[in-house]
Amino acid sequence: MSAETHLEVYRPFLGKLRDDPLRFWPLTTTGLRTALKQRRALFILYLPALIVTVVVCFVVYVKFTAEGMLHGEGADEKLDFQGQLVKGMVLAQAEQLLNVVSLILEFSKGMGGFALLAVTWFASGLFCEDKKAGAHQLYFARPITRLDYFLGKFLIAAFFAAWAMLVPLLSVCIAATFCSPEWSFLKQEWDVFFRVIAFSCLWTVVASSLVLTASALASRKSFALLGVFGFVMISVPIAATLGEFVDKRLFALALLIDLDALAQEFFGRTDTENPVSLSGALVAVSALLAICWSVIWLRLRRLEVVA
Amino acid sequence: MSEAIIVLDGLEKRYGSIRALEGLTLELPPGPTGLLGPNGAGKSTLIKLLLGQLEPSGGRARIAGFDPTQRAQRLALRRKVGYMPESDCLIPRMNGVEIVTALGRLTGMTARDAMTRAHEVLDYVELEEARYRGLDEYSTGMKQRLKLAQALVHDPELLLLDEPTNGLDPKGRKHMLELVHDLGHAQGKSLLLCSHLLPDVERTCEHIVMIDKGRIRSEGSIEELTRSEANWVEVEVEGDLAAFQARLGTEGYELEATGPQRLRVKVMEPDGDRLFELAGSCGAIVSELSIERSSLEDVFLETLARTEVPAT
Repeated sequence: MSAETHLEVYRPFLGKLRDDPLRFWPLTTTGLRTALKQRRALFILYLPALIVTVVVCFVVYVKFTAEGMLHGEGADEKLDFQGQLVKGMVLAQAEQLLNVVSLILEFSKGMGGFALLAVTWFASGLFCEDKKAGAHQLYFARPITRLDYFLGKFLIAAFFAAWAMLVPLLSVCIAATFCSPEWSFLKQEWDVFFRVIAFSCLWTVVASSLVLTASALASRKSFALLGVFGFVMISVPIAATLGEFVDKRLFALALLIDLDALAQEFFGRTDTENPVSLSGALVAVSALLAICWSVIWLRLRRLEVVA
Repeated sequence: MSEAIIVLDGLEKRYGSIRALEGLTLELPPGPTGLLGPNGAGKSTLIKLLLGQLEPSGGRARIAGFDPTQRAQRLALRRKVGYMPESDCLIPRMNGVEIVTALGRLTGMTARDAMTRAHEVLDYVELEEARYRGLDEYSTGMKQRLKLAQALVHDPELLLLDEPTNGLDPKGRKHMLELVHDLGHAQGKSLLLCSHLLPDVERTCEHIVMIDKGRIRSEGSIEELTRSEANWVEVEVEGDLAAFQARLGTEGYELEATGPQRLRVKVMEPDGDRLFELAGSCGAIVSELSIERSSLEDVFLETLARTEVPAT
């Protein structure tokens, strides 16, 4: 039977409702589909990252091609003394400047900025916009817990962070693998793949947690955006001042310095001039993550169940 | 009476020193029930307690056999309940079909089922033309119907509707009430319609709970509640009206003429049977008799006045 004003009838649902353990997954896919509608933001935030990635891959290609040409059979026979001198200098420069692992390390530092911009733009409204619109009332009328809600949103943030960090770094590794003669990069530096994945995952978790914390605390997306950049930018001069005048270990208060120290450690390029030790950076990042997750957990409780 | 769909046992909710709900105890039968009360009476608080979105300060509640304070039961309960919130709470940057599909999937439907079902319920609430439009292009009435559609997507056995006609124009209100009536009567859904608008409840529900200042003031079927001790009945008489009027007068009935062959008579018995006997005794026939009931509004105001208590 239909209501009087229209002809459509109510049809009962004859299917079955599943008790899926991955209850957060629909939240993630729906959130991603919604976020990906922001085509202009995607273009603005990811195009520079794409260009930089292409340039770095090209540099890697040039390095291996130049090395191949200079090391090629019979190349020395045609060169006079001056030519061999120049070749030696070029090779030395190529070895020193275009070490792929060092290049990836520097690239990861550069991509951090793009990635932070992207994840902040796309994820800073995830909690506060739901709260502002009251959408949490719809979500928490469904069989999901706040852990599901958090995971669903976290994966959205992580997706955008990974596309700006993991994918470019892996692209450089893959370019190096294909450009190196006889897969020498893969054979000699195979562990770089794992280091890249591990560092990108750490970076993604830290950036996503920080942005989601700002979103859980703020009432609007713009406030969350400001909060994240304020925290990241202001923490550097404050940590530098405290580290310089109070205790050197206080440099660890700056997230960017900690991530630099961790990146160097991950890629086996320990910088003795870095004011933050590995243990200091690990403690600082772990503490930051603990604070972020605690804040998110408490704030989401207010959305799920009000005591 | 079949098994109660909602059972409350001394349910309480306090916010600091403010008592939003005080010791609510009742058993609601399946079917359409209206939760009536003025603004601030505690209706929305009760609905949130039933859904497990608020933690009770005391007492217990069971909805469709589940305890909303227990995590596992709360999740199971939410598969059986559809909730239409009062506030404008739709998800930004999504269109109608995306919202309903997403919420269907969150309830446990497969992506395919959720999509099919979203189209079905959007058709049912007459949003088929607007299903792909962004929410910023929706009118208030469309948003309300979209909220109803998302509550229906998983075909729940109980619907919690919080002020579904809020902000609607007369046409939109009529449409919404027809949908609610259809769901409660033709589709056999149990529903708890929370409203401060008495005509809405009167039109769509069979059972009502009146709540004010966090307490249940009255509860029962509308028929029972609107039946008063002394009823006015309207009768149409064939035959000697004057003799019938005279007879009623001598018997002490209060009456007034309302038409050429019509009288309005105040009777003490519930169904007015005695009038037939009196008419027969003076050569008249009662060809039509209708009992005038007090309106729900009268009952509501009377109940509030009778149970008025000082604010806590």
